[in-house]
Amino acid sequence: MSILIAPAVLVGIALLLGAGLVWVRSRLPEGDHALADAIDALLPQTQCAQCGYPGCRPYAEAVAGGAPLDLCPPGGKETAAALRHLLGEDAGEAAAAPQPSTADRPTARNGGESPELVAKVREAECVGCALCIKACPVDAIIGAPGFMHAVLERHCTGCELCLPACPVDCIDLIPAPSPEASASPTAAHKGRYTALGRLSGLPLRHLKSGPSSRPRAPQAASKNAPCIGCNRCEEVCPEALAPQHLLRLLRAGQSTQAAAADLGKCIECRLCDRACPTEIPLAGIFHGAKGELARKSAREASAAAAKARFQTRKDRLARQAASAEARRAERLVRLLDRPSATTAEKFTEQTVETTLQADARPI
Amino acid sequence: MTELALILLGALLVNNFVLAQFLGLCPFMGVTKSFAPTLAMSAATAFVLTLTAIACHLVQHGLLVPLGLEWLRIIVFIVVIAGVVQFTELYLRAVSPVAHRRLGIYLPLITTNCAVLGVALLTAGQGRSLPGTVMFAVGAAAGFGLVLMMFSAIRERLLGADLPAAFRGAPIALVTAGILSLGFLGFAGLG
Repeated sequence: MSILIAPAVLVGIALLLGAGLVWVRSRLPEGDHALADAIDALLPQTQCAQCGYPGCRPYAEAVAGGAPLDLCPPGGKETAAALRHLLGEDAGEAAAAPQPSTADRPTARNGGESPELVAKVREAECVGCALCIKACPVDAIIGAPGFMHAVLERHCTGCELCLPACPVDCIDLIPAPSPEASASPTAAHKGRYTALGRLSGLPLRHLKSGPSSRPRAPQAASKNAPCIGCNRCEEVCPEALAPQHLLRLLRAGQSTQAAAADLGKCIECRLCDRACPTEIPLAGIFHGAKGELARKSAREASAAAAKARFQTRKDRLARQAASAEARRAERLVRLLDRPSATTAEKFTEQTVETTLQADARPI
Repeated sequence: MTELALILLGALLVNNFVLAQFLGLCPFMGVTKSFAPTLAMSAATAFVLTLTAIACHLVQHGLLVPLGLEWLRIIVFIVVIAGVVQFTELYLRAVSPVAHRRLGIYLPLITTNCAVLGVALLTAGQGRSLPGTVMFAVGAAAGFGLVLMMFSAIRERLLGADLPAAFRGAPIALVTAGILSLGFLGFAGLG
């Protein structure tokens, strides 16, 4: 009797749990919509379709389903970084590495790393119709009907929406002039898009009982406080670094230059924090940047190692195939008669060559 | 009342599941690379741990003991744990898809977290009352979360540290874990 009871208990519990799961699943909303909402809030909403999807919302849904994060030219690197931050770095890597649906995306102009483009009006050909002014989503084109127009390079996001509007095709996209010099105003301008929907690093913020009122808020405010260049941090630094210079580099997003300027030597003693009259948490910023750099180099190192491993394996397979072919040819020579041996040799040479070529092709 | 407090303290610090009993080491080394996912993981595990301990206690005393099926408890507990983990996953997916995506495979892997099964089996084996079980589970969950968050914060700091090449990555993490464990030995005799 107990033989029957034991399986009955087990199956009963399993069935009960399964039924509960089905019921809960039918009551809860579908999760991907909420994720797509969060992603959509980070996108610039220019609906320019340069990512290859019809608009920002479809792209957000595609990202939620695993599409690459860096396809949005108007958003630029800031949006890509914000998305990577939202989805976690690993998710970003996984989505960026295999480039899964290239066929689905017909014309994605920008790989994210290509230079930023801005529109420029060929002034001699402009007829002053003012159609492009209406088309511009960020009001970067100035001019009036009957007069020549011009593009404010600082505000242009390179979204291409003015191109189809122009009846005489007098707008070109040119590389943005010296992105280094205009980095901060552009970043500040684009920050307008991202600052609205930026989500904090704490993923549980969405939980209703989550720590929505974190005590970090005042620190985050002083983190962006302007450096007044008083030089006090340099005076107190025990490692003789230039904290304010490092801060400026990091805020401009030039972390590699910051690393070259001995960011790694910072011992995070926080003396500069105490010396700073505007209370910028310098050591905290440097700590974060150091971690970021270390993570980046670790990623690169593992990618290089994987590449080397793959190459070694490919070479080994090619060598094995070649040696197997050679041995087979030897056997063939031994089996065949004297006069036909020469033809056999020729045959083997050919086959070895073709196998090598076949292996040399990328898989 | 004192007894309950002692149970809580014992499970939290003295017999800490990760550093004193060496259970649940997989997420301890696996998800603690940075702080934010660790926080979510700790919360999810704590939730599952508390809930399963209570559910297993009820199943043990309401079903298995009356039917004389105590020998079946490992399989039954695993089924219960798997079910609760699935509930948690569904809930997290609906409420915070970002956290769900960040946790990835580690969320379903809570099922095989031996700390969860360990708490359930220990409470069942020691014959605690329901309040005692709840306290024990809460203490174990809090201890697990505490240690995980501590370790992830330390690892975030270690990432930027100037280490010899041979120590980078997993070796220094293991050394750190060992030192932390030594530190928790200091709590022995407290409860």
